[in-house]
Amino acid sequence: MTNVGIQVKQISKHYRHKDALKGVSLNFAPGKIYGLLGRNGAGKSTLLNIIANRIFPSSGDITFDGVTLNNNDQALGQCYLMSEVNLYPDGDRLERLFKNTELFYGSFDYDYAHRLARKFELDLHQKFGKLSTGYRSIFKLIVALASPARYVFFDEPVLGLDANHRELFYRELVDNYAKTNRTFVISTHLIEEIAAMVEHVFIIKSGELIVDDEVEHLLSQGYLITGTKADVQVYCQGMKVLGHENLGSLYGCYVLLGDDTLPTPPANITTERLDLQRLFVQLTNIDEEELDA
Amino acid sequence: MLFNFDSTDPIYTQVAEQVEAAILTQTYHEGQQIPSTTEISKYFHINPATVLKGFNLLVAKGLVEKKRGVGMFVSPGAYQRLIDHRRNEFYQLKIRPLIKEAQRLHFSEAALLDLIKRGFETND
Amino acid sequence: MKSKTMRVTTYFFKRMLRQILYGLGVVLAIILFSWLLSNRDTEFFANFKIQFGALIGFFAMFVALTPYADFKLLIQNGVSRRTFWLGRTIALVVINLLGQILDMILGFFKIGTPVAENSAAWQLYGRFFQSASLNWLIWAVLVLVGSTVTVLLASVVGSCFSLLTKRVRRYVFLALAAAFFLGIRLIAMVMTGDAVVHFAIWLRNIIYFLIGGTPNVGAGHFNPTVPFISLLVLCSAALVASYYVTQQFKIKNE
Repeated sequence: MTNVGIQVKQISKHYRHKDALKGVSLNFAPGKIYGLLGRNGAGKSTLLNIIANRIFPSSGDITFDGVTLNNNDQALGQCYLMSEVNLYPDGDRLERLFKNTELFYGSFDYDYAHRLARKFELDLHQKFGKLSTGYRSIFKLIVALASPARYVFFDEPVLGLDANHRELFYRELVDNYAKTNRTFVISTHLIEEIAAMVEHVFIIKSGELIVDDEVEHLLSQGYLITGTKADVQVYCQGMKVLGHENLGSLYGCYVLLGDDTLPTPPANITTERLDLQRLFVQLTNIDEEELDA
Repeated sequence: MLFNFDSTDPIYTQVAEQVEAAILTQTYHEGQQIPSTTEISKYFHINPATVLKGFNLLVAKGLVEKKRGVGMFVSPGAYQRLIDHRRNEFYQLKIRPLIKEAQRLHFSEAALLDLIKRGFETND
Repeated sequence: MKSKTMRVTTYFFKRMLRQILYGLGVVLAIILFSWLLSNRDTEFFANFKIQFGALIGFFAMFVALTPYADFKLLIQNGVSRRTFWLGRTIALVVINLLGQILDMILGFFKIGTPVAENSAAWQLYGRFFQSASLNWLIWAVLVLVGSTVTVLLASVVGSCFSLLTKRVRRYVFLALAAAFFLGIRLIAMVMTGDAVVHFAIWLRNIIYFLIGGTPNVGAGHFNPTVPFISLLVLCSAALVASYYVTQQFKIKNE
């Protein structure tokens, strides 16, 4: 295992009434698009804030190319976290914020930023504090794309964006990726919209990392098995069952195969692959046993 | 646009299938350039690596070829090769199960051929 | 200095200078405005005395009190806490010193007030040495170190405040203001000799020791050695404290 990239080692974060993260370990390699998925309050933002050195973990360590990230200007200067929180001064004009980005990151692609601003119809003479939620998101997205950071983290990037602007953002993101081959990490609720873009996915559930897999591999493991209840239960014996549903006499069972392949189903059983969104829902549903307990 | 990604098959196989479909309908003629990985990935928000993987399937089948620094082009003879391939697939995936099912239903060969004939006649 | 530290320092220097000049502008505008509203005495400007340096120092103190907004911007821009602290501290100290030196120069040419004679440091230590130039030098050093300590202490207080949530901050501020007021009262009481309790005498001796005098020595002849050393110690303590507190900074959810 090489030390290149960002390595998150056994990160835990305890708050007074809650364990936000419980020993999460994962790696971000150079030049990949990652999806960081989880339900509300699962700990995604906490993790991203720790990686960007905005808050501290209760335990664990983060390294950048093998060197600890805390107080590491070199590493922090290679990361940009676009988040819901607004850290820019309300009174500063957007042009000035571009200038500051250049000053602190060492470079900034003004031409590109201005092109993007025109596409998103963002007036750069405004003050940051005057922008609506959607345009604040757009401004931060533009800074993220035009910054030279090699690792760009998006925490809810399309908050407040309409469908057209979301579409525009995804196109520009993929275009930017094709040209720069940087690492992008996207944390979002709109899984369907990013599913095909993401190569590798991390899923966090209640502060624990439950999936760390290539999307293609993960999707090849998830199936919906349908038939009568008795048939399905026989067929699914020994498989990892994520959840089930009833529709009249039809019984559906969501399974996650290990590295096995699906055995040839008998005629009375149908099998169906799942998309990322449906698999995510099944993986992060609260277990019914837990609810009963 | 011509492409349509809506199945739950792996995306890279869908990319390959969509290009094949376009070659079959002769939307892309032999020798014609097909869209670049970047164009496709940008338009459909698909990871460029995934698109490339789909293209590599096509290259392996000899349907498209790469011209260095220019892009991907439909290979000469690709249309015929695809037709041959699909015909073979048609036999394997459609005709053989058809015959199997027909035997289960006690159709004779002649009766089955009659049925097929009837299908052709009623087809407009 | 590393180029990033350099860039951060320059950034803070420019931003603070802008804020302070803005503050000065407001003060001058108020003065001018009140003159316009009053009887427009032509003598007013002839007798007009203003200590720019003291004002700059005063505003620098205010700037020093609010590091959190700067921290937010810099952590968003991938600047570490260490570099943030270093750049900000250097910029603050340099701006304050420039203000003080400006005052001294103005005072020297008698453009503003003849600062030295009015300043507390001069009144305490201004006649300690035989040589006038030596007295001037000591005075200048004491003023520079003293004002640096003030700005650094403000920085420590501001940094501590940044760690607190808004609600707690309000209470602590009230408590500190009350404590400050009571402290001043106490010191005044002790030094004027009104209080005769044992504790007061003990406290008075400590204060006399710290400022380098005794009740028997006339003001102006106090020994500047101990205060100079204690200011340096305070200076280093403030530096260490503000660095330590800055290391604890984190982005709050508010």
